[in-house]
Amino acid sequence: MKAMFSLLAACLLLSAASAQDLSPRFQMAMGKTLSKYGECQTVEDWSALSANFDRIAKKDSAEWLPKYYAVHTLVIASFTATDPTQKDALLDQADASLNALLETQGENAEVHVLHAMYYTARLVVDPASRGQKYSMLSGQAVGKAKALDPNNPRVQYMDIANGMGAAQFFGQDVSAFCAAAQQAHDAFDSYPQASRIHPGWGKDLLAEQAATCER
Amino acid sequence: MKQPAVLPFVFTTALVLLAGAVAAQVTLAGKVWSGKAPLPGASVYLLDSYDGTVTNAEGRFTFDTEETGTWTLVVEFLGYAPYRVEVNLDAPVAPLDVELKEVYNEMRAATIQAGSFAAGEAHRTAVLKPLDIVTTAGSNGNVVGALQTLPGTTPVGESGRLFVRGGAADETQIYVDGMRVLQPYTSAVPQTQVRGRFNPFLFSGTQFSTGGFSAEFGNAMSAVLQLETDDPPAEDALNIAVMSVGADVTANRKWENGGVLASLSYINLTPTMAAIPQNFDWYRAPESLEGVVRLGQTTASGGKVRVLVQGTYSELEMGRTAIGDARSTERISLGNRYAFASVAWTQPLNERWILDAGTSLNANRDLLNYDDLTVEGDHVGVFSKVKFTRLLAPGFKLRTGVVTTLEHFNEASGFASDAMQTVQSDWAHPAAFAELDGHLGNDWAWRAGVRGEYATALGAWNFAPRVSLGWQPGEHGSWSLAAGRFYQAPDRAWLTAPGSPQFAYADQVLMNWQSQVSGRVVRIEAYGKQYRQLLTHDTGMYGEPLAIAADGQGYAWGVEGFIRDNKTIPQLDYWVSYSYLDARRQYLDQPELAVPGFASAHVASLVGKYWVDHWRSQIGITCQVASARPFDNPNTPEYNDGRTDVYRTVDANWSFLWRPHVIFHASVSNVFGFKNSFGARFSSTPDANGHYASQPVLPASNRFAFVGCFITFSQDKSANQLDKI
Repeated sequence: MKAMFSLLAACLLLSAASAQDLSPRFQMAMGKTLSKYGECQTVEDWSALSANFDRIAKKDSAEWLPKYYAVHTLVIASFTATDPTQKDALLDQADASLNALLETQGENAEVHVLHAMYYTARLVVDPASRGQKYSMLSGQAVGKAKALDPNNPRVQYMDIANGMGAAQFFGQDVSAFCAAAQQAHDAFDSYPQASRIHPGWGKDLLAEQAATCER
Repeated sequence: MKQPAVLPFVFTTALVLLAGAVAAQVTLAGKVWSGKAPLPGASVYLLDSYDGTVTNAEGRFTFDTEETGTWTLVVEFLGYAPYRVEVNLDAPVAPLDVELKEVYNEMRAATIQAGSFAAGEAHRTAVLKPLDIVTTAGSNGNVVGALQTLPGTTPVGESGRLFVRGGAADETQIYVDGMRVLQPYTSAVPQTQVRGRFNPFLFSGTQFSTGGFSAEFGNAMSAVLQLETDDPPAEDALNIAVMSVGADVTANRKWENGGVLASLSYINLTPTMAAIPQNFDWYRAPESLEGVVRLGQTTASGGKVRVLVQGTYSELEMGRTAIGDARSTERISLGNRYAFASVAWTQPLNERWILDAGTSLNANRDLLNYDDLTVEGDHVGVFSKVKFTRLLAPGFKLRTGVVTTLEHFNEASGFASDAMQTVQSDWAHPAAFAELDGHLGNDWAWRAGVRGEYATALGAWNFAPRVSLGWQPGEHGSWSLAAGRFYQAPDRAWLTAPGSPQFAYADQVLMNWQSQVSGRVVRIEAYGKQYRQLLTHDTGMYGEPLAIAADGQGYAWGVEGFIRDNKTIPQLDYWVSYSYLDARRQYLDQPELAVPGFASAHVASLVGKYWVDHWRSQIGITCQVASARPFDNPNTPEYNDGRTDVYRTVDANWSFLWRPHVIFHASVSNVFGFKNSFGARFSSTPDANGHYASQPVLPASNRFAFVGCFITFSQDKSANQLDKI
């Protein structure tokens, strides 16, 4: 899981595209903070990075991106942590920002993907007793994202991750999921990233998913 | 030679520019403390700027800013009061040394653990998970069965009810969503086992308080069990269960901010009883039809409404060997009609006030035929509660409310040849309570409450103070202390007898130590209880109670331990509990202070659950041992010197997730078939030789077995009834 999220971090491509409606200072602060994704390794690193996004979220409370990354980093921190109590506590910390995002960005597929990741993080704390409830909630969040933006590669990644996880658990064939991941990976660059500070992760994760069947 | 002259100019310009740049960029650095320790992870920033950072592992921070002029530097961290200071960025800023003061933090603050076992995700202090109630081997879908593996309870096979810390079964009250359940157990023939009325799958939170509970709960000298219904269904689904004991169909319907669950189940034990040797003759194996509707809805204003409606129809007819004549059989039939409805509404009124209001309607009718004796009992009750919670300050809460119970009881009985005789009683039991919850820093928690009750049938008031204290000096261990008085009105059956019944009460003191470190819980609790004004009576020539009074008394004390661990061995989750109980009481028509028949001195339980990934299976095992309980044998000169067998059972279950939407479940209780007996029944009069004839009290069967298949149909194919196994 750790490796997966370092990859995920590395995948936050800082492309050249820029959005005109965002203030340059905001973009600079975001760019600077985003550049630290690659340096994060420990739970403390991730939650410190989250606090940095929180600070920007406070300054520009109307922007969704700082909140998105503040939650995203906490979800990664939760995946990184090993103690179940700490895993839950980190997700508890993400609740306020996540709820604000869901309220104001209900039509944003990226937010629903994040919500699905959050549920998956809740699930892994205690799969035996939370499996049923949270796999369903994660699936529902992906379903919302899919309805809004079916071609989004992160939506596809999360959708495949859920389906593949269930198929592996029941010992069923996963080759269809590998093929779907390969297809999503090949189409990745054709999906535009709105700006260099918008979510752009997922390419390497899709490649990893596609490679599952070869192992 | 002009060129060399240019160089110093360029050099100087560069220097000036560099100096300007240095002047514009100020470095802010320092250290953040709390108490004597550095505070890592604190956020440090200039208010309304993008500039800031987070303290490192040594509590140090450093960041650059290009802002100029006077700014506010903020240092903040969850659970601490934020620190603000003005800084002038036109000049270098000296390193800052900041001390943060801890404030009340719900996540960190001490809680009061004494007497309380919580199960649920919402409770930070929960030692059980919601699923534990249903996945415990031997519980057979009975809430009460699973709770009997926790410390403080004594398994009483001939009853099945919750007997807590030397208290009788009616000293434990059961609540659904805060509303009292007046008939929480199924109806049963005397000396046979009952079950909890409710399907455990309806609930996601459980709090079992074996003593020292809040002033919100009354008319209970021993314990309170609070069941919280689950959230509304998360999706539309149809669940079908095909079981060796019957079938169940449950439909879930979800809508915006709410949903409904409706289920219908038919249970018939005929095949089970044919397959497993029985200790009774069954003319009609237990058979029941039950319908349940559960509804949940959140309102636009942040309120929440929960409704549970249940109706049950059941019949059975059995025979057991008559006392003193092995050739003749007592023939007993029992029909039961039951209805329950509860509505609970929680509504935040504003930032500071929360209203909880609700009611429960309870109706029970038993039709019992015991050879040629017929008894028809009707018991109807309405419980209602209005509670206000006022948030006074962080960590301080005042709860106050009014509760009433109205009951009507009517019983007609008679032998076939005689006219039926009717007794009835009606009474009201209003009560009010107020309780203050507070904290002293994060290390101390306290609670102080009072409760007053009135019972029309007794014409008497009572007034019960209760206090508790919690201390959590570090992250890992906490201490709690609780003391209080707990009143109880006599059971309805005594109110129709002659005499002057009174409130009985128990004074309790509890002390608890608990440590909860990632996946491991250890708790030790010691308590003492003093009973006063217990009901006493004389017995008339037909066995009828006479001269009801409140002259009884008793005590109970004990020490209990509980360990839960789901970390040491991967995939294995287990708990061990042990209870020592020393109880004596003199009540009813007992001639002297004696150990009550429902008290085992030693009870030990081991519950294990092991998940086998490869088999997609959970295997559960429960072992329980309880030392012998006393009963009075009238054929011996000493009072109360009969002893039941030591109670032993090993139960096992297996759940197999075959497909995402299909689960198989099998369970066996008392795998080894230990022959447990629960004392004896004696004839009320001696024979010609002065000997009282007797019959042993036995369970319906030594073993019990169950197999079932649970199928879910939904749009999301991965959904299943995992939370049902």
